[in-house]
Order: sequence, then C-alpha cells, then structure tokens
Amino acid sequence: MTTTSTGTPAGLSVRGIIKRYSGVSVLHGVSVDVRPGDVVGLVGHNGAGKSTLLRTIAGATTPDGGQIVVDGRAATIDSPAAAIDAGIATVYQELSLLPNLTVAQNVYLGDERSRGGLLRRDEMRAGARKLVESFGLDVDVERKLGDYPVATRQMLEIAVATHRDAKYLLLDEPTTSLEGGQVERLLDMVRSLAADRGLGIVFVDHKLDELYAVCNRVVALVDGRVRIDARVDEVSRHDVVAAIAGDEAAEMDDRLRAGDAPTQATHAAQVETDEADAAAPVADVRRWLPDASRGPRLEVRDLHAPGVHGVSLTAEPGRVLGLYGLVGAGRTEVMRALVGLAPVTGGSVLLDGRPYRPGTPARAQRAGVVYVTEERKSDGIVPKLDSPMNVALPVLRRYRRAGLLDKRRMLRDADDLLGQLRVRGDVHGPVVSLSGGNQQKVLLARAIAQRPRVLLLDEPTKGVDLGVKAEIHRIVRSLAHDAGLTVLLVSSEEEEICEVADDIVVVSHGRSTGAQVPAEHRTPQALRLAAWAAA
Amino acid sequence: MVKRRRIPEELGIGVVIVLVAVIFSLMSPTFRTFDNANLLLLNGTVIAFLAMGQAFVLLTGGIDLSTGSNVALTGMIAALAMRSGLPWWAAALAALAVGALVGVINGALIHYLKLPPFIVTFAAFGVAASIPLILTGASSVNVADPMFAIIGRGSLFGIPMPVVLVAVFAIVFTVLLRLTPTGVHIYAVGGNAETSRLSGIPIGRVTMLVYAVSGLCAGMGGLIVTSRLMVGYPSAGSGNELFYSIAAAVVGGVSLFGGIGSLPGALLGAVLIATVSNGMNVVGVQSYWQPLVIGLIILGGVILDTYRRQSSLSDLFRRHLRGGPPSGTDAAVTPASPATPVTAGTPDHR
Repeated sequence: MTTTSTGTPAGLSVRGIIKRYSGVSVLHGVSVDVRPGDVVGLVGHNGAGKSTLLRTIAGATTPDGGQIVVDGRAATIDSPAAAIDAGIATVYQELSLLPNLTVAQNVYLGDERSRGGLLRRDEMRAGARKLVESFGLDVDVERKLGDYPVATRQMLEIAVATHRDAKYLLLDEPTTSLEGGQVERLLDMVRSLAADRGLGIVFVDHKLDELYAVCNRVVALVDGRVRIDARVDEVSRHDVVAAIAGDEAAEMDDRLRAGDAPTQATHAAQVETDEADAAAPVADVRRWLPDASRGPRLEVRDLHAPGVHGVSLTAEPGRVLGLYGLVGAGRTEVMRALVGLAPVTGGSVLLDGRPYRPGTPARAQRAGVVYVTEERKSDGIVPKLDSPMNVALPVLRRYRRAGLLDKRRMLRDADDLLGQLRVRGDVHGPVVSLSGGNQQKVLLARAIAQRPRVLLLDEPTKGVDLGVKAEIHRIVRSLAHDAGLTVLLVSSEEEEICEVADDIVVVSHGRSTGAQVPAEHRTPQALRLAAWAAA
Repeated sequence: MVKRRRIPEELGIGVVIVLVAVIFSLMSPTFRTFDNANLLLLNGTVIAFLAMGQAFVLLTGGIDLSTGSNVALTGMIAALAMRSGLPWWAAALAALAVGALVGVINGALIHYLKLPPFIVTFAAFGVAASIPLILTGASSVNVADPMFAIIGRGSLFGIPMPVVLVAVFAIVFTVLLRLTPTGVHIYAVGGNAETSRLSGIPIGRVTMLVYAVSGLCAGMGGLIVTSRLMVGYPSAGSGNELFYSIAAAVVGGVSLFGGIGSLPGALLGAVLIATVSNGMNVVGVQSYWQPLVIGLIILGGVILDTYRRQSSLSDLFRRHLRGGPPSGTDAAVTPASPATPVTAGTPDHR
C-alpha cells in the first residue's frame, strides 16, 4: 500500500486557516505542511486550537478562511466524507468506532462493499482480517468491537482509519488511554506507517516524550497561531515548553527530566514561579476548611475489596500520599472502598487509630473522607448545571433556611471558592462549557466545600492542559501542607506522583508492592520500573 | 481460533413464548386449536407491523409515537380514496404513501431541525389523529369495493393474508437490516451518530428512511384494520397499539437507546404480546387486565435484558459521553486480569 508519486508537490498543505466560534477567533491563519513520511507533532495548551485545526482538516468543521491543498491541488473539504475522499483519515481523541458493530463492519463503515444492493460479507471479512493482521492484531473480525479492551480498540481505530487509501493521518492524542508497553506499540505503529507506507501523519499529544520519540517535526500552536514549526533536531524540548507554557514551566520540565527528585525546595520555588496573580491562595482555601482542619492519620492494613487483594498504606496528615500503579492495578478500587462505593471485604482501616468502615458514601462524608472521581464527565460534573451549583451540590443542606434554599448565600460562597481556585470561563454557564481543567477545578472546589479531612483524588489532572495542571498540583500540595489535610493522590503519571506526592505507594495487581517510601527517594524511572517489575 | 456458534439473542424470548403458550394450553382447550392459533396471529398482525417499524426507529436511537394514530390516518385515507372512486389497489398504495410520508416528515424534522424524536413524533401523533376526524366529521366511512377485503380477510394456503403480509415484510426488512449497507448504517447511527457522520454515512437519509419504514408499517396496519372491518374508523389505532408496538420491540430485545436488537426479536415480541392477549381472552380474563399484564411483561423484559447485557444506565451514559468503552478504566478491569502490558488481543469477558 505504498502511496504518493514523486515529482509532483506531494503533501498536505494547510494554508492560512481561520476559524471563529461565535465571533471569537480560535485559529488566526494557521499554516502547516505535512509531507509523505512526515510525522508532525502538534502541541499546545488546551484551547490553543489543536483540536479545531484537526477537525478543520478532517472536514468535521468548516473554516472561515484559508485553504487546504492536497498533493498540489486545492481541496474542498467541507465534510468528513470529502476529507476521506481526499485521502485524509482522522482518529479522534475519544474512541469513535462503534462497539455495537463487529470489527469488520467497523472497518467498512460508510464504505460497505456490496453487489446488487446486498453486502459482500465474505469480501469484507477477508479485507478486515487482512487489515488487522497487517497491524499484528489478534482480533476476530466477526466479534463485536465492544468485546475488546481499550488498548486493542485504540489500535483498531488507527488501523481502520488508514484502511481507506489514506495518505494522511491525523491522530488526536492517541495515547491518552494507553500506558507503558501499549504506548510503545502505538508509537511503533505510527513510525512504521510513516516510514513503510509513506503516510504523512499529524500527531497531537501533550506528552513531549512521546512527541520527541516519534515525530520528525514539531509544530507548537499558541493562541491559534503557529509559534514553532521546526524539525525536532532543530528545536529543543525546552524551547517547545517555553513557547507553550512559559519559561518557568520549561525550567521545571528540565529539572524533572534531569532526574532531580522534587524536594521541598523545588516545591517552594515552583509556587513562587507560578503566574503572578497566584497571590497566596492558600490562606483563602483554608478559610473553607474546619477550624481543626488537620486531617487524621489514615492507616490501611491489608485491605481487601473488589479488585483489591491486600493493600497497606499510611497517609499522614499534612502530607500527600501518592498511589501509583498501572491502569487496572486497583488504585481506583482502593479509593472506592475507602469512600464506601465498594464493600470492604477484609483488612482494617483506621482513622487516627479508630476503626473506620465507610459502608456508604454518606457515612464516608460524615467521617470527612471525600473522593474526587477520575471520571469527570460520567460521575463528576452535572453537565447542564452551572459551576456554583455543581460546587454546592453535596452541601445544599447547609444553605437551608426555613426549608428553602438560601440561593444568595450559596452562590456567594460557591463563587468565592471558585474564585479562589481561579476557575476561568463562564462559571455561570453550564459547567460542561468550561475547559477540562476548569471543570476539574470545579470538582476540587466541590470537594473543598465538603470540608474534607481526608481527600482522595483520582487522576486529578487527567486531560488537563499544562498550565492548569500546575495550578492543580499547587492547590493539592497546599491543601496538605498548609491546611493539613490528609491527601491521597492516584495518578498513572510518574512525573506527577514524584512532583506532587510526599510519600509513594506502588500498587500492582491489587496489592501494594514494597514499602511506602518518601517521594524524594523515587525517580519517575524507578516508579515505572517498580510497577512493571511487579506486573 | 475455534469459532463458537453464539446463541441467538432471540432464544430467550422464544422460550418465554413457548412457556406462556403451554400455560394457556393447559388452562384452556380452546387455546390450543389451530383456528385459535390463526386468530392469535391474525390479531397480532397490526402490532407486528407497528413493532417492526418501531424497531427500525429504535435501532437508530429514536422513537416513533405517531404510529398508532398513523394507523387511523392511513386506514381512513384508504377508505376515503375508494369512496372517491379510486380502485382498491390504488387506494391501498395511496394509504401506504401517506403513511410513509408522515414518517419522512418526522425524520426530516428530527434531522434537519435537530428536534428530539420524542417531541416531533408526539406532535405527529396529535396531528395524525385529528386529520381523519376532521376529514370525516368523526364519522366512519364504509368500504364498498369487496376486493379490498382481500388484504384483511383473504388467505393464502389457509394462512390469513395479514399474516402472510407480515411474513413477506419481515423477510424484506430482515434482509435490509442484515445484508445491506443501509442496514449497517442504521445500527451505526444508533450506536453513535457522530461517528457515523464522520464515517461519511448519510445520517439524514438513514433517519428519514427509518421513520418512513415506521410510517409504511403503520400504513399496512391501517389497511389491515380497515380491510378486516371494511369500514374506515377515524379512531382506529388509538387504543393500545402504540404502547404494544414499543412493548413488543423492547421485549424482543431492541434497545431503547439504539444500536442493539433485531427484527426477528421485535416480531417475537409481537407474538408474545399477541399470545398473552389472546390467551387472556380465551381464558376469560376481562380485557382491561391486558395492558396491566403487558406492562409488567415489558418491565420484566427490560430488567432481564439489562442484567443479561450488564449494561446499566451509567454504562450507557458513559458510552454516550465518552464514545468510549463502557468500562475502560480501573474500575472495570477484573482483578484477575490487570491490564497486560502488551495489548491483550483476546476479547473481554462477555
């Protein structure tokens, strides 16, 4: 399936794309070139316009200006079908193949082979089988897609996208739901698509390690404009981070990569170097917490619960305990058991030495144990409600006056808290219209509003852009260090754990492995090793 | 890889039908006669047609509340057309065309104006129910042409004509759903409309098609009702037809959330409902008990279905919101098999 002729100006050329959403410019004339065999890394903050650019090239949205030239010819890409016809295939961030159809049906979706109006099922089965085999996937094409695990489906997404004589492939954060070896496999796949099949690939990703591992060019978008467009050997990682997140972030990134274990000193330095208007939110957040807000010592001994087969840990007040492990290792299950969402079937949990059996979320809340979910969209926010309402939801009872809701007081408090956490965007619109990072802050605000003593945070920066991520890290640390809460932080990002946590426990196969150690004794590499060694 | 023959999804309801039939047979000798079986199927034909149409709409994630009153509208159109001098077959075609047209309008409003199917077809339900009343001043219209009776009263090889018609349409529709690109598109739209759009599937055409099929099926229902009575009643189909059609499809395993289900399943659902109402008649239960019993059957069917598929509401929401797997996160990976480092190629547990 080698593609593209030589001689003609082969390549996908995006020229001066302008896109406005209800009057607000998102893309201010973006130009990018992708030649066959290129892997172009596209980076930028959430909201910098990466996804919009991608959707424009993919025909999912129509631009307000500019043009797209495919292999020397101006292409009218006004629909997804037109993009596919032009040889441009797209894999979106959210898995988009249909779980209720078979793999073969998904492969040929919208492009079914038929004769005399009837499907040629044998031909499609054979074609699909050939496709999955060429990608080295062990998949029964007649099974429903929903029967397969996420990682396999992510690979299938790419395989299917390249199937229709694609010459250009747009990948929107394809590794978000993958980890470790799966990411490697996917990157290998991308490399081979570019090198062996001559595809021109646009690879959107937050993780620079991956970008630098797979791309030969990097394009940084800042506020809808191209800030950097250069070969990876011409532009340093430092410059890229500096361009999209500022110099301080770049330095921090450098330090982290140099293997510096984040110490208290770097914590402090980072708080200082954060944006100027960060003016000590700490004391204000404290205002929300009970006077004796110091959390209890949480001791978990040999905890058994669904998916948990013996986890021991000790979370001290005033410290962040990082719970690290691969996806599926049982981290979330530990949290769920501690907060009463899943039954504790064995072991003991002590709060300040007293036995604690949550049983139900309500009881956990009364004990001051509050959980912030990983699944922001499905069981975190109430999408259509505004941000203050989302914050006040669990504490509405506090605002009762003569049986009615004292909305003014509730709004004032919630707005205040949202302001402290510097939630940006229209907080009085539906919370779903905020960016992922700001939604996450709303969830944090909700947790704080519940006046927790023990805070359980499950992947609090999942799908959050770099800037907000740093803010959330700072908030989490200050909740522990300044307000004295007992904080348990689950993350599958080694860097995050090392940066934010004071102590670390590694969970694997539902068990805690090895002893709990202070974070400065662990590098991201060591953590990864610990998780994989046990796996 | 050893290929296992999977048990058809429809087996469950088939077993239930047999059980119900056996119980009624034990209770009443009348029930187990050939004539009663014929009568049972005959009375079930209108529901069967409506259920087939409803299945198409439900598969795309929609719902059609207008089918019942569309029966009245189309039945009356046929009667009025014949009174105005059209031959019976032309009148029948006109009725079917009107039925399909109602569906096309429903589909167009839903797709182009992005209105919720529930609201659009609810409005159409009212409109379609009123037109025959307005046209006739709420009086019935007699059908004079005896040939028209062939649709509802005729028979082929001893099988009542409506039953034959259901069978013919069922075969055509099943082929359409299972063996044509359009069929795959219908499932795809119900699975995820946005993905389907991005895959280049003409969603508008699919949407209008399924509502047109539902309208056409309502037209067949209208013809059967009018032909069996040889009178066009403006209030035909205003009883439990709509309720039963949704019930039949859902009990037959068609998901209310789209993308899952089959036409044979919906048909078996219709047979179950016909069996229950016929059986209750024969056994001598007062007729107003029937909706109660059928309501409970729906409830039971949905509960069974939910547990069988292990797809709780939250999973559905998750799927719709993330477009992802129902359970791609920590919570769902079974403890025995934590995410393997290298992509697991084997399917999850079912």
